[in-house]
Amino acid sequence: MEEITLTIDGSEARGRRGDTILNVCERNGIDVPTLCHFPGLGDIGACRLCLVEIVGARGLTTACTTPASTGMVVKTNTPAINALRRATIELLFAERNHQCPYCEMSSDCELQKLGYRFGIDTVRYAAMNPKLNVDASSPYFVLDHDRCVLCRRCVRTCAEIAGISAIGFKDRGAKTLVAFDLDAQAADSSCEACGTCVQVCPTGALFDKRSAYKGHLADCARVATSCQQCSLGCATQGVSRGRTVLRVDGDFNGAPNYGLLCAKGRYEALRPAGTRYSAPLIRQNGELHEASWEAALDLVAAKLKEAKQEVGSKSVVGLATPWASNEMLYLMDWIFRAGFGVVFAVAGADEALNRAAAVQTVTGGSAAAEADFDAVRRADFVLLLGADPAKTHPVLAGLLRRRVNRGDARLAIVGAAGNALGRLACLYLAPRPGSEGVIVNGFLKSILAEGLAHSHLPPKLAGQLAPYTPEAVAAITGLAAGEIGLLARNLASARRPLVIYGGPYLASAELASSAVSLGLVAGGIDGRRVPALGLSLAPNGTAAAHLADGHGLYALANAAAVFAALGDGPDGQVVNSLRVTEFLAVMAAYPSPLSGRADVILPAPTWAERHGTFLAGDGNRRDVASLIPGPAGMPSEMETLAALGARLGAAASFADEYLAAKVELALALPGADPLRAAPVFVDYL
Amino acid sequence: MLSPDERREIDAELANYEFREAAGIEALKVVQRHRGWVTDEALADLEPVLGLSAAELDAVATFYDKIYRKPVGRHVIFVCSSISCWVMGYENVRDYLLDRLGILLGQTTADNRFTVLPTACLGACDLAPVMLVDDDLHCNLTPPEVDAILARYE
Ligand code: SF4
Ligand code: SF4
Ligand code: SF4
Ligand code: FES
Ligand code: FES
Repeated sequence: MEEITLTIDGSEARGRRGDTILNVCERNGIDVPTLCHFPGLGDIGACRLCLVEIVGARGLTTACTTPASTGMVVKTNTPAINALRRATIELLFAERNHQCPYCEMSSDCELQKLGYRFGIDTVRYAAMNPKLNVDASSPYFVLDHDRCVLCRRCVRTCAEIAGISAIGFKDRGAKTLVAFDLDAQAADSSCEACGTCVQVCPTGALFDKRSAYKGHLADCARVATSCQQCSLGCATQGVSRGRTVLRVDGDFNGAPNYGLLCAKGRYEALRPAGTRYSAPLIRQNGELHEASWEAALDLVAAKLKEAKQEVGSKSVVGLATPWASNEMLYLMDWIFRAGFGVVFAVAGADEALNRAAAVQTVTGGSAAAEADFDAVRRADFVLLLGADPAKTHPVLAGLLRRRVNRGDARLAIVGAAGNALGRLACLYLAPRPGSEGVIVNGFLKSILAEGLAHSHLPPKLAGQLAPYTPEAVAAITGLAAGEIGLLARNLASARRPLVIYGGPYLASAELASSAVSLGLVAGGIDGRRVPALGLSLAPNGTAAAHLADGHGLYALANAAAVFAALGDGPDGQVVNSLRVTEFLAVMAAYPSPLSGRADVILPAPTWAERHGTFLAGDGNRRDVASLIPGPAGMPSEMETLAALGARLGAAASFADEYLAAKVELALALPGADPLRAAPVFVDYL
Repeated sequence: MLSPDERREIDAELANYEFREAAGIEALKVVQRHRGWVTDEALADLEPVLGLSAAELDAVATFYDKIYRKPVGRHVIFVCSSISCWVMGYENVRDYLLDRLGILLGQTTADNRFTVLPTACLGACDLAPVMLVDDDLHCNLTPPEVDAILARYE
């Protein structure tokens, strides 16, 4: 990286080639006022607050848009410049309604801060007091044109970060207004309510409904954590005050989302899922009654022991889901399988299991793993194979839109019609339902036949390809033979292809294998990663797949006593598979159909109170921090499990050691298999 | 749907630019030429061709006062209201014109013949006051000349 040297405000300042003057100032700790600039967004020089003087150049120039070069002599802080800045700020105050004491953003507002910084105690210009509307149609945020300074941060965010461009400017000059689509209400527009524009708005023009008027940032805690809503595990920051999470922000520096969130992670997660359990409950004569923790735990342990003794160890099941943290999964595994000697099962890990099996089959059991989410930011050709990320993993859809919009990648889709990213695809093939495997075999055969393969296939898979000529595949899939060859050729001749698979391709290990094979053959193994990525949904599927021995629901078929700790996992499948006659204990934060059938309910913390680690869908670690304390007296999930483990005859000290070792292993390199590395387990099925 | 003519003219514009967004203004002008004004439907038609969203296209369309987002008459008159024309007394011309047409600024005559809009500087300050009728610039205007000019536009 070539270094450049400038003189700024009389001192030498170093920067890099390609820096703007503002970048160099930031690197050297020189504080130039800005308003429209936001790191990561393209600069447009709209607000004129970063004006600087380049000695020898005509007039003043905006530091945020002017490239810096060696030898420049720059002044950022002269009386003349500051007089202009001051006037600009006064004009902004005069242009709309900035009665700060009534504004949600007061004290956290960038315009207000500039006002203080430049000592503006009175505005010399008459207030224009335009009559402007407030758009409160969104369930999540408000757009108040009165506070808008027309910095375009929201517009650029929607285009450059979310890749949606639902929001734009209308008209010009002082009459300019932010507008959704063709001047629709936010709620009726193509806005997907990702809230990213709300997060970047410098003023009270776009603000969050939930956190509105509930405190200034100075009164709040901001804690880095990870979203637990899907397998992306987006980097977030929880903003909370006391025992309330006010809002969730995206972390602009955190993988895999780099600031972008979706409505699920930013807003929906904060909707309480009912009235939470506050004390342990025991069912007596059909009615639930409050009980002490001691009594409830004693009862659970006694019932589980009794069932083990009377019905047999295979009829006693500890049940978790891939919505639980590593710590919880491993501790349950230890308590039930290793310690108590009964069944530990994971429900809902099917997608993750199919993915793991696919990688195993295709790479012949090498330590290879699938691509990581950052591969989306490098790929130049992405094939969505049955995957519809806009529906399942909206942030990933955003990352894709961004790359395709910028011309950095091409997108092809193979799957059912109606994919929300269809508009961006250069090729969109919709094979007949049921021909998912056939079409991939067609691609594979075509790539191999044209000599474009970057890797061999395991002989068993390669041997099956003979019948899949383009014509045969065309006949079965209902597509044209030429389209199949065209897509295959484009995929395999890309420099960094990536196959993102989902939908039907996650539903069986065979189809997942064909998706991973396609990635392997089209792109080869890069380091230890195959350029294929399965979009399984559960946030901790990777860890669950390491632990789960087969598809957990079978274990329920003849279970007599079940202890279920599902984390935030859905319980529909579990309820349907449940045949329990003897005893059901559930650890849960909120009522659900499952807990409705429970004999004992142990209250659990919510996602916002939980802490621990997860393995995201690409095997990378995610740290989850507790944003708020739980209700007084509420133990963590781990404490409850440890207390139960002790009653089931498992030494607590061993639990700690075991857990530390296991989680350590789980968090080792992606692709490492913690189970294989530590063969402490008894076979139970 | 874009008509074949519209599509052909827009494609010709697209060929001039490295990025298709860059042809946005020209594409808006093409649909305006064919449809009289830029309808919401026209913006929807242009979205896939230019790779821009409706919001982005509307931002461009509403930024330029010579791209119409509302129906206009057969002929559009822009009366310059900027500083040189003001110094030279454009109000007399404007008032006479509006009086003859029986409309206010921004309105269209009942027979749909004329729409009158204000504009800021037509770049002919030395010939002020001026007005633009369709693509014709009329300079050094005095009220009596207005009738003769109007007569030329059916
Ligand atoms: S947006 Fe900022 S400057 Fe305007 S009223 Fe709100 S706090 Fe004050
Ligand atoms: S919430 Fe998201 S989709 Fe909606 S306008 Fe803002 S950035 Fe765009
Ligand atoms: S709404 Fe906020 S981010 Fe958007 S232009 Fe106005 S002040 Fe800037
Ligand atoms: S920050 Fe440079 S013009 Fe706004
Ligand atoms: S002010 Fe009217 S043409 Fe310039």
